[in-house]
Amino acid sequence: MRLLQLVALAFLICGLVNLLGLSAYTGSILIFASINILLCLGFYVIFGLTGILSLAHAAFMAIGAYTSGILSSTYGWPIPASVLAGTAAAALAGALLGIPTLRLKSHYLVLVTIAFGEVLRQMLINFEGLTGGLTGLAVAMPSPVEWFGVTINPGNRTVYLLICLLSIAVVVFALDRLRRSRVGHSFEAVRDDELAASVVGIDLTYTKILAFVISAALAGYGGALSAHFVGFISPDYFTFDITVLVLAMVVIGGKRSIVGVIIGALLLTFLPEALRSLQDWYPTFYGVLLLLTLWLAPYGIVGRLEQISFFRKLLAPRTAVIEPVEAARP
Amino acid sequence: MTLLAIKNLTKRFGGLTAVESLTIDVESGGVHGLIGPNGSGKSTVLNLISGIYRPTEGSIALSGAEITGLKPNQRARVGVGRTFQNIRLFPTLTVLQNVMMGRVTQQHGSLMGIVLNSPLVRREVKETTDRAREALRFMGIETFADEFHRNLPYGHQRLVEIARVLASGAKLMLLDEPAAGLNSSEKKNLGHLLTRMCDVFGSTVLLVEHDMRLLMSVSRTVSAVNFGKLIVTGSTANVQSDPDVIKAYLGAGSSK
Amino acid sequence: MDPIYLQLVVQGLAIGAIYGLVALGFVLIINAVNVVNFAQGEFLMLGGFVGLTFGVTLGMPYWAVLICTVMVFAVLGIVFDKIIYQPLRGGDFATHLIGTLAAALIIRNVAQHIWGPEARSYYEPFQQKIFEVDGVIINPQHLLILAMTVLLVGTLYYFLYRTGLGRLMRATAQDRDTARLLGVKVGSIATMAFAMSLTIGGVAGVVVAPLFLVDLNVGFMAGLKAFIATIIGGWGSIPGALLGGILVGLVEIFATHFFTASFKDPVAFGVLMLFLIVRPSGMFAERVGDKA
Repeated sequence: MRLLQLVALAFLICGLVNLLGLSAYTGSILIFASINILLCLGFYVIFGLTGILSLAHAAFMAIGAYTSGILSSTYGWPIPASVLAGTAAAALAGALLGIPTLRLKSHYLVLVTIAFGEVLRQMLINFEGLTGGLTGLAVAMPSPVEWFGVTINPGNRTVYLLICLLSIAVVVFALDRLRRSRVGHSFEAVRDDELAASVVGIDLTYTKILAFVISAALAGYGGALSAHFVGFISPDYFTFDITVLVLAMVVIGGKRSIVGVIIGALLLTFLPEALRSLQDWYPTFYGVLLLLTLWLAPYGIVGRLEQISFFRKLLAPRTAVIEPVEAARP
Repeated sequence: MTLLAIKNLTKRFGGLTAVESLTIDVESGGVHGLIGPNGSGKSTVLNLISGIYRPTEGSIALSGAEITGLKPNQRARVGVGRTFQNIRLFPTLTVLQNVMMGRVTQQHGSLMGIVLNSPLVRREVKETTDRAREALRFMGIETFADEFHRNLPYGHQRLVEIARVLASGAKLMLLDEPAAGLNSSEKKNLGHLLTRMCDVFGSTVLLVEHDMRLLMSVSRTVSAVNFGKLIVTGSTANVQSDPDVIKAYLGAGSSK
Repeated sequence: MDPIYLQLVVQGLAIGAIYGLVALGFVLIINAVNVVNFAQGEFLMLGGFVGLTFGVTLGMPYWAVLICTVMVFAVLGIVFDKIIYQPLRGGDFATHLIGTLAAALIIRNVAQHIWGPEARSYYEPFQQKIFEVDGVIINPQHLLILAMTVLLVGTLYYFLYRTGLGRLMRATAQDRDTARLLGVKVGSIATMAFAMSLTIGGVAGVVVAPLFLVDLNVGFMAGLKAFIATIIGGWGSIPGALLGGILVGLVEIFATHFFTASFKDPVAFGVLMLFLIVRPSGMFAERVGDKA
């Protein structure tokens, strides 16, 4: 994938949206879909590529959202700077959570990451002076900027959508390059055989913490983007349920492929909107969809599609969705 | 010149002593065989050298530099490579990518460099690809470069793993029963490859192998161990006729 | 000792016993099929509501409520095994985690539709009969919880370690393939384990319901704390689960006393982190294979 093509695609989508004159409501849904894609790409790095099931995604989002929200609203930072700071804070939290959990077995790690999320949420509630506690915090909305005589207003939905889409373009481009490099291959090696990976020369500590950092940074960035779009944050936005939703998107779309997690994010953003009448049954809907995926398509929608040759060519070069099988001894 | 110096190496698991004050010098260049009956501690020795186990006592030095305290990936960096008795290739990587992973320590391109495809990264990737292809070609399996290893015959999978170590340019290659599960023609081929590898690339191999005919035909020096202790180190002829070695094998009730 | 501390200990024991009961559900499944059931906490919630229906709506006596709950949850356990566990059998840790998380989502959502989103209060079988010993106020419900816990733990321990069936269960968890070769019906062992595990969860729900409001969200936190108890106690150990639960309960109650209620979870989780760093194998480390 070329960066230019991706950027062009972002502009194209945005132009189409503008041309069709979609409602404010549809605009918002598109923005939320874009943010969900960013969150899912972060989850893909740690879970799909590196095989670490860390369920602190909502916590990293909260760190990004609150850092950016507090810096911009309370301390008057410009929003681009505060969003970057939020992303960096989430990345740092990812590294800090990554270090003590490196040696833990998978079930312990799951527990520690869930617990981390809950503790963070209660801290957000407890430190009222800074965070606004349970009532939440009003967050600065982006204001117009003038670049070379052209006024750009990110508060405008279309512009905000463009910012989100361009972010996705850059992230997808970067992740795709990483995935096909020695770094991406190291992630996969660590996921499938830690011992062989370290004997080959891969530094397990560095690799796992790197995965944590990339994943947390993307979650923090997504959290900050959503904070400044909604204009309000509260601890209720960052519950464990959000992590489960992201997990569901990634698993249903296809945890081992970039295209897969994007499909999952889009599906689970738009489907509920299309099925408004089922609103009260959303959790059941997600639950059943998850179970069906686990039963019928362990590598998600994309994993299934890859088995059809037409799609395999379409998804080329290769999305690494093959099922690991033990080598048979004669 | 001594490449690997193992000195008074001891490894105890609880009350069990798997390796007991073992001292072996591996000379640079050629194949050094390590033999012993089942359960005599050969695999433990390999795990100690590659850093999977920490020794209870003793030291290991590579080219005169102590490596006893290093982690497996750090040992790979200073030139220790190995294969496993049960092949351990990465299932979602192609054969070529697997072999390229052998050179992971020699690549230094930064994350940013990778994303921007910097000249350094491009050069490294090209060099790594060339070296990996060269290793595959040497093993005679270059045609399978873009396959997944599980689609290859078992014997070829073994060769891929050896190619991974070869491509890494490791000073010391530890091969753990590379002939296990191979048929006789594959074994013969493996023997040729090992000999040629040492001739062409000047590799040093520490070979653990149950197939005595293969081991004796490629090794320049052989060490025999039993119950974790060294019986003798010497030329193949000397070791084969050593009464203690014969006793160890017959005594352990193991055929050759 | 200051009676206030004694009071706290009594409370901590009771809360801890609840976590212990939920943890017991975890441990049973870990022992039988070596899987972590992340829906376990939800059965505590579900038990409360089921008890509410039998006890309040249908007006059954307490003992009948308990019997009916056992029957309902035994059946639920069989269903859970058939549609959540069996189809994913042999999957890795993440697969089972996601499957049971999905089940938790469904259970909570369905419960909300049946019983409504509001927390409900439950009748007390021992209304107003709180008594005082040496300045320590004792709620008989606490005693019932403790007695029930000890009874269940004892029974389960006896079952797993002293009966043939229990030994089969543990053997199956350690080596499924060998157990199958030896003629163990691996499938029915799993079904039985789930039936027992859900029953423990449901009964715990009925017993603790009078202490709290019956609430849809009680399952998540209780499940989390019980999971901590399981780890602190030692992976798969029955006495460990109970002691781990009690430790978590005590930590929580004392944290509430010395700080404020809002710090009880951070402190409990802090203790967990400490435990994982200092003694990752728990108080009573069991050897349960790590096949997930």
